[in-house]
Amino acid sequence: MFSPILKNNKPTESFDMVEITQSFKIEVEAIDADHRRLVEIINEITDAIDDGRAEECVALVPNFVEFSQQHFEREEALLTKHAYPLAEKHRQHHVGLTDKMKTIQALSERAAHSQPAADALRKELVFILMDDVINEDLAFKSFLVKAEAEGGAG
Amino acid sequence: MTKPWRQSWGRLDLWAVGTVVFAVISAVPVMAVIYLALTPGDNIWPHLVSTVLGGYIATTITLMVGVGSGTLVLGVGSAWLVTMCRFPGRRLFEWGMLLPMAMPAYIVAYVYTDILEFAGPVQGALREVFGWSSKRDYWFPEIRSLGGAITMMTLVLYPYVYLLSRAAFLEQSVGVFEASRSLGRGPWRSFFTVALPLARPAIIIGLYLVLMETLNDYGTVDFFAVNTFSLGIFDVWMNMNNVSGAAQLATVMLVFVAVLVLGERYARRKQRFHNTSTKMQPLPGFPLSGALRYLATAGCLLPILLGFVLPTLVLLAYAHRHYDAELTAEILGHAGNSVKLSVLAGAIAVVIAIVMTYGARIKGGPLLTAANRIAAMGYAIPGAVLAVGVLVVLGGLDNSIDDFARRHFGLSTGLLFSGTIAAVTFGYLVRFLALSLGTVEASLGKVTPSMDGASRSLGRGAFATMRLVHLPLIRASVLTAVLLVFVDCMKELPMTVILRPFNFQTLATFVHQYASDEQLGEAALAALSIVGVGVLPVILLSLTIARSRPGHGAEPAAAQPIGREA
Amino acid sequence: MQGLHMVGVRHAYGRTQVLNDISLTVPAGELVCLLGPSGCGKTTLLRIAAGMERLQGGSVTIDEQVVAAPNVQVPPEERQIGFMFQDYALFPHLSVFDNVAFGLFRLDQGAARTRAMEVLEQVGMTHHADKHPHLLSGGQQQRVALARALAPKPRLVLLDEPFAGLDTNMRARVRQQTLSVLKQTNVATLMVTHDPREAMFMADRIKVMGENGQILQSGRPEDIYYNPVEEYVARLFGPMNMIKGTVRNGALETSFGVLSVNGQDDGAAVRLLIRPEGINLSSNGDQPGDTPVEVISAHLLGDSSIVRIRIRDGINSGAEFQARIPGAFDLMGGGRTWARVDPAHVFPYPQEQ
Ligand SMILES: Nc1ncnc2c1ncn2[C@@H]1O[C@H](COP(=O)(O)OP(=O)(O)OP(=O)(O)O)[C@@H](O)[C@H]1O
Ligand SMILES: [Fe+2]
Ligand SMILES: [Fe+2]
Ligand SMILES: [Mg+2]
Repeated sequence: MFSPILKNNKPTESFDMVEITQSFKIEVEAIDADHRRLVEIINEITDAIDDGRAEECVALVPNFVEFSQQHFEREEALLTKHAYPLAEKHRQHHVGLTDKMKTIQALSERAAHSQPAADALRKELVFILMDDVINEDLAFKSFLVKAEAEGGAG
Repeated sequence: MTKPWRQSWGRLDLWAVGTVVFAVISAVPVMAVIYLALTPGDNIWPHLVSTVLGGYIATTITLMVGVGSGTLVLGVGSAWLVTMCRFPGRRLFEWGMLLPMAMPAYIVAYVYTDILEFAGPVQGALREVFGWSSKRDYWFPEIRSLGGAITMMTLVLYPYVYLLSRAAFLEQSVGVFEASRSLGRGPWRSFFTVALPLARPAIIIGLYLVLMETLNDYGTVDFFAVNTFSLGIFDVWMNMNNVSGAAQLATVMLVFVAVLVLGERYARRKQRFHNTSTKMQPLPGFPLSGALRYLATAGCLLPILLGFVLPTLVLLAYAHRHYDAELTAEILGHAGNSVKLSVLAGAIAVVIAIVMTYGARIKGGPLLTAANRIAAMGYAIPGAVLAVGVLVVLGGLDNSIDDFARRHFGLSTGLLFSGTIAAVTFGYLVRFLALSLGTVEASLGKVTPSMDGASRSLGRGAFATMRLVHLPLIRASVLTAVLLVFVDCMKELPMTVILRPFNFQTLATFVHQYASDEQLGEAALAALSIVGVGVLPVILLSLTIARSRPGHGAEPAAAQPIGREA
Repeated sequence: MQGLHMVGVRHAYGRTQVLNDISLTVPAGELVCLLGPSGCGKTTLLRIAAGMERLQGGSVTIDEQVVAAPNVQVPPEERQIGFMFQDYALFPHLSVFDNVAFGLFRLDQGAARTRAMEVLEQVGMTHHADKHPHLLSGGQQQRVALARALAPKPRLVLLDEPFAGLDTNMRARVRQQTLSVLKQTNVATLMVTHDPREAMFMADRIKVMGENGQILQSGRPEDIYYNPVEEYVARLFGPMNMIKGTVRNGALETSFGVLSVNGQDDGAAVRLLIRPEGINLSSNGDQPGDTPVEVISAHLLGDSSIVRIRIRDGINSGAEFQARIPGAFDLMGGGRTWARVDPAHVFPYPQEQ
């Protein structure tokens, strides 16, 4: 009845560190696709760390930072287009993530030589994506789904 | 891994439904009385108003004022002496003052009438000594009177006031009393200006219980022919054979009850402000000087002697003198009836109380809280009123079932519930449910809600949690609850008289019948048995008092939430 | 994703709104701390996650199973969570072993016994298995409560102020043990506390809650400490020094030199909050930004001292500050003292009108 959740501290290669499951979906394909891409990038980074290729992080993390930047712009444009009342607040939230992006870049530079830095990087990437980026987006989920549906019909 | 989405909260509703159903059932008799009073079949209300009503009201109020003042003086005075002063026998009086509680008022009434009436030993001895020969030669107070009823009830009811005042003095007044004295006020002024006002809310609650019992009494007033509402209801019901009239009188009586309940609520509301310090201070123990010491001892001893010791001794003597094997066998049979009924009521009441309190606990919300309050209201309703309500409700139910059976099956079911043990038990339950509810509620309240959370989050459902966590923790209180209801049912008279099956006797109805026929001697053994049972809760209370005495350990660990450190 | 996911949770008691759109994610193996003042709704949030409080708005997902949403309310006993209460809520009538085995009723007896002993071993309480809880010290009770919560291998562990009942020395030790047991177990953990230092010690991520029932900031302990987004968050860690002034050329002129107020416009009225540990004292005054001060008093706290100082020169002359310095401060030396501000501990916020 109780499934053991005990598993290895380090996920196996076939196991993706994160995935977008139902509760994290915005149900607007353009945004979900971006989020899935971000997840892919993160899984590449965590795979690199777990396979002992932590030196690759320096090259991989900027992909995450850049793609998230592009995603933020696309998302903000969509929110503005549908006149989401809290669009500006959400933009501020994206701006507020700049420091965290700097943090993970700094961590990526040290990841090759320091296991704690690599662990911290992996942890922080997951939190940034799942707790800061996607979780905050869920606030406009119902608004956007409705707006998109109406936009599609009209 | 994923389970289907489901709405499983709904299952808990069983508790809620049970709670509400019990509350409604317990309110039905009172509702029926009021309904019947407002839609009388044969309306004798104008007749009642013009003849007896004024007398009932005046007598009832006089009785209540008399018993109220008497119990206040005895109860508050003895509580103050026992809590604050040092004099011979104080430790003994702490619990000894409670003993008269074991005596139903009607039993002391029978005993004292027997001793003090014209043909009794006291007047006989007086006549002997002084050479009087007839009633004209001397004055002697008439025991079978309103004054007599007041005295009898005061003697056995003051312990309620004593119990609550004592607790209040212990909790609140002791510290401030000392402070007041250290600021230069004398003991008397300190008592009246500081200690008494602080204890007032608690004293009022004690007084409320006393007045409820006074209203409820039937045995004493019947025996003394004091025309209170209880007696009036019986008279209109039994002798005038008028149900609506009885219901109308009962409804007026409910107004009295409502006033008392509201007064008590008001007092309790104020109590919240006062109840700041629950820490026990050591008792001041202020030694009394010379004569005062013995006066205090005598003052405390007298109520115990008159309210318990003397009646018990008299009953013992009578029981011995009138011992008769055949009669004893008969009494044993009645005792069996009493015990069966009382155990049945006690057991059912505690089960209902557990369902209702646990339901309110896990579901919460104003509805279930209200349900619990309503179910506890029965205790305030005088037995005579409830009896009328129960009879009306069960009679109506019987008639509808009978009608239904006749129409559909062509047979008559007759009276299924009226005049059965079920009717008596139902009456007991409605009236005494409050006792078990209060006990279970207090005890369950001490189990911290995190216990529920711990068990539920570990995978146990609501029922398993109750079985594995709550019941073991409140076991002692469950027994107490059964005992309290049991004892009150054993003593109960007015409802039993009206609701019992034909030719069915309990100890109480047997004593009542024999004593009314001036055959107290034959009933002494039965009366003693009732008193014996009544002593049980007194012992329980004494143990609580012993435990709550400052410097003594707290409650047993079982009912206590876990502390942070052992 | 494995772990806890709460979205847009709202809760009101009567008319008082306690929780306002709380969202959070706790991945398996991570420990998230909710940090907030008394009465802000932390316990309420945990109780909602556990199913002890009915959800009013939003949703709760555990290991991809929706356990609470509009029209869904899985009762606590079916959520497979471990809840540890502030008062531990050990069952007083059961032995330590029976407490731990309480949630193992679905296993057969042998397996339950093995599992219970295994977790008791993990928390180092096997010796006390037969005792009743009231015979244990506070720290031991805490460990039994943890073992009991972990025994059925929950998908999520909820801890409500788990160390609040312990004295300071015991607390540090038990905190360390608890953390290592949780990390071994690799379970998603949501913990509630109002002690910022405890949150910093335990958490992979801290979520700061404000009195309005909203999350004010989320981040690593370092983010919360060095980049508090609001004055409220900055003040969580204790009393602050404050300088008020008007921004000129993107900075504020103070006795400690020109301090940057990044983000505030020229002409804006600002207040700079400076942590006591951000004021360094020296006896030579040869560093840039050193300003001469008069020492008013020094208070030794053990490993550090609070030194009250008064500025002697410049724009803030006469103002009093508190500095926190490592070790004791030598008042008797009698020499002159200079103070300097570490920019990492300076936080500018706009002044409210
Ligand atoms: N059952 C309840 N009924 C009404 N109000 C409640 C109830 N439980 C909590 N509250 C109120 O809701 C608010 C939040 O309570 P909660 O216990 O969640 O706070 P908390 O953050 O855990 O506080 P603390 O740090 O003191 O434990 C408080 O103001 C409290 O008074
Ligand atoms: Fe997004
Ligand atoms: Fe976003
Ligand atoms: Mg709390």
